[in-house]
Amino acid sequence: MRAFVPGYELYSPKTLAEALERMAAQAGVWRPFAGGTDLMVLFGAGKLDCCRFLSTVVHKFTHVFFRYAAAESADRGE
Amino acid sequence: MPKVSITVTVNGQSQTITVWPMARLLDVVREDLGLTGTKEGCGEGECGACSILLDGQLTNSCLVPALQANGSHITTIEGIARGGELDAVQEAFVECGGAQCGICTPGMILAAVSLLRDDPHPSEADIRNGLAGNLCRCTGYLRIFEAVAKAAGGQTGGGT
Repeated sequence: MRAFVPGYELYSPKTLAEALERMAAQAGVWRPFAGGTDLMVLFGAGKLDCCRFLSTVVHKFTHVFFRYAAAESADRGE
Repeated sequence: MPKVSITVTVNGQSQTITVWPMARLLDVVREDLGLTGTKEGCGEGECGACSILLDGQLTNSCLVPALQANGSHITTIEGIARGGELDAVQEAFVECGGAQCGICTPGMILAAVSLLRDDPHPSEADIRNGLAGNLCRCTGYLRIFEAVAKAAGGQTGGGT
C-alpha cells in the first residue's frame, strides 16, 4: 500500500439528489466511485489522483448516476 | 479527511468500528478486526488470497474501500468452522493435502465454500472454474481440486 490513506475522502450520499447537489456545488471536486476494482489498484499503487469520491454502490442508483456522469463528461468533451 | 464509523456483521457478530473511508477492507479485517486469517497476496485483485464473503458474494477484500462495506455481512475464514468443528471443505483440504505454504488456503476455502453453496455437486470443470480466481504457487492445484470434490461428497456432476 503506497497511498496515504487519510488523504482520500469517500462519501456515501443517501440519495441521487444529494450526490448531484454535491457534484454541482463543487464542480470537478467530487468524482463518482462505483465498484472501484480499477481505482483501488491505482490507489494501492499510490497512483490515484488525490481527490474526493462519491460512492455510488450501496444506494442502488449506480446506473442512473453513471448515465448522468457520462453525459457530464460528454458535455465537457472528454 | 475524517474517519468514519461503519457497522458490519463479521462472522455473525455485529461490530461498529471507526475507519478511514478509503481503507482497504482487507486492512480493516486484518488490522482493525484482528482477523489475520485473511491474507494479502498481490493486492491487485488477481490472486484471491484476500477473498472474503461480502453479503454472501466471494469478494477480493483488497479491492473494496471500507466505507462500501458499511451495513454488510462479512464472512472470513475464521467464520467457516462452527463450534470448533471444521467445515467439510476444511476437513477435505487436510485429508487431501490441499494446503502447503498456506497463504492461498483461506481464499481457496472461501471460494470452495461459495462454489459448493451454489452448486453442491460441481463437475471437475465447475471446480476449476469456481477456483479460477485463486492462485496457488505450491500445490499444482490437483490436490485442491481433489479436496473440493471430496467435500462435495465425492459426487461431482457430469460433464467436463
